[in-house]
Amino acid sequence: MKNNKKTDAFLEKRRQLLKLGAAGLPMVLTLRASASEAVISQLRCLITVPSNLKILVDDTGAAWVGDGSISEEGGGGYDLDDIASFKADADYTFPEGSAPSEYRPEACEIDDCEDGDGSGDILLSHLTDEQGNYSLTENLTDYIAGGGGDDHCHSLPDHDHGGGKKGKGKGKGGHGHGDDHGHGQGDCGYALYVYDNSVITPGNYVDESGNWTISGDDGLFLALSLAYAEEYGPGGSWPGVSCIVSILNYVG
Amino acid sequence: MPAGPYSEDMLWAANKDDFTLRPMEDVLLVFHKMSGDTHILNFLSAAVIHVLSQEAETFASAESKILAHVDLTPEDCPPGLIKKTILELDDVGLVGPQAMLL
Repeated sequence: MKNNKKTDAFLEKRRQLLKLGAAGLPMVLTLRASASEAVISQLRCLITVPSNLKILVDDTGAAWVGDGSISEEGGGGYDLDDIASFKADADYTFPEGSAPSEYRPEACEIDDCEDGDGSGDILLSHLTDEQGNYSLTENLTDYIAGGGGDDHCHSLPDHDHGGGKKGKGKGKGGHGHGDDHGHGQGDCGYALYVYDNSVITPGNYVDESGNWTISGDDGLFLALSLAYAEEYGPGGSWPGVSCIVSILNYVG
Repeated sequence: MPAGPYSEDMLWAANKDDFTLRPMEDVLLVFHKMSGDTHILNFLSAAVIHVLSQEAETFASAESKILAHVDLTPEDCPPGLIKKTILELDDVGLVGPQAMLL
């Protein structure tokens, strides 16, 4: 702070400042860092999710993140080709179990069921062979039995969902198809979440003990952010990973 | 923390090991390691820290050294301002009575 080239003007400014000090101007300003404020500052960071970011989740909890387009099929589910393209071009891919169960796709709805007297007929038509014989798995037996005396329009069991293009595409197109799904067929074995410049405050979802309570679409983004941060730390390219890491460092 | 009752012949000192100093333009940023607080000091309070970190001083003995450090004279400084500044720094733990710092 010593200045060897102090001019008269410079010294006069100092004199003026001293007069202000005599009038009550503090000579010391303090930026407090109390424990509670430290919590706030570390948890206050925001994440702006990039525009048009999409997260595609399958029933295993695997997730693909990108900005490709995915069109919805009329009977529910998403276009098979779009799904395949999205997965191939995804910016980030997360393994099975990454997406919490509440964000995984729900069972497919069988829209045609309302035309019959029970959903069992629809399923039976798929399961009957050329001789008219059919066999039922335990799950399907339960399903049909439940549908007979009920209003119909039940869902297939979760574990029966198909995967990608070569999987068992579900939805209005039925199930058990082969490899040659063409455009226009839907796969409802996926859930799609679309973000558009969402601003997320991760600190709103974690307590001081490090317990995360996620909810809403933002919760899925946070869950994947946590998985990414644990894998790659703050150096990755995931949007807002530094914010997540700073919170993780604080809450331990 | 303030020293509480004090006398005019009390010696005041600053321990530079307790904080980190960073000059920034016209002010001095002081990070106090124990509290985690950061303090912004103007030229007068910075001079107080500088002088009291060299040697323990009373209010009176510190005044002349502080003013010399900032190239001012006692006529330039309103009465009691340096003492008030030392007590401000005591409030935030940057200086204290010598016995308390040992």
